[in-house]
Amino acid sequence: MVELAYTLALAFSLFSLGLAGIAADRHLIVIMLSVELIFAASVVALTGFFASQGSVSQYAITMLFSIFAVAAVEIITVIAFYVYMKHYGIEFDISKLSRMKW
Amino acid sequence: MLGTFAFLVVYAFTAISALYMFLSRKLMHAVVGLALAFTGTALAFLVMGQTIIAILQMLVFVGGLSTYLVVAVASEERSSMMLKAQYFIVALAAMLIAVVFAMWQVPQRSIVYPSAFLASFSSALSGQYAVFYVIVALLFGTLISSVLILRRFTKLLI
Repeated sequence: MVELAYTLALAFSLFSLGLAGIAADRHLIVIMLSVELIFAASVVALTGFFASQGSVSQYAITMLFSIFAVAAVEIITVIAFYVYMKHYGIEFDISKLSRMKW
Repeated sequence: MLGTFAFLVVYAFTAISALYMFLSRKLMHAVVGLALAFTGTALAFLVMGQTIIAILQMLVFVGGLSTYLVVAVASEERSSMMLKAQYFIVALAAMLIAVVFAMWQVPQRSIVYPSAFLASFSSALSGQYAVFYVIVALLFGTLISSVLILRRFTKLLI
């Protein structure tokens, strides 16, 4: 028996750690690792909620498949473009993203 | 009671691994810390009784993504990590508050071991969820096309 609160505590901890990584770090790879950590936190929270209902429905499994697919494709695409940028010597400065504000 | 203790051990393992991901100076060590954190979440799923999700977590995240990250990061010699300590301390305080909130404000509801998990897994493969699988196929197409574009423009080892 595991309480729901413990699983939510784990999910909150992973989410806030990932948010700290996004806010505090300027390296592209570390930011992507933090996003992956947030994905893991969402999976933990979803599984905890559905497992606390007694029976895991088919919605949970389809949502988990979607989360897995999005996480995998996102990190692979970003790493591929990171390798591309490193090969051509293109600097990716995170602080330039502040141009997007309006 | 034993399940709670096991979950707390897994919780500590996962949190320490995720902290090691940020506190390590080398990028490769950060990736190894992330892989350990993913393994910890898979162990948490096992403690919760969700075996299939734990297997999926190990296959997709630990087996696939972490190996790919290790291979991609292996060429990076030295990381230019600019970790701002004050943001990180604020985030750690937020994590502590979140843990306290989750312990006190969430109603006490135990997670039972689901018996109908395999049946729900088989019904998830029915046709009414085809749109999710179409989305997955589109994402996979995005992945393949990005790799093809890179292969055309860079002539790298991909």
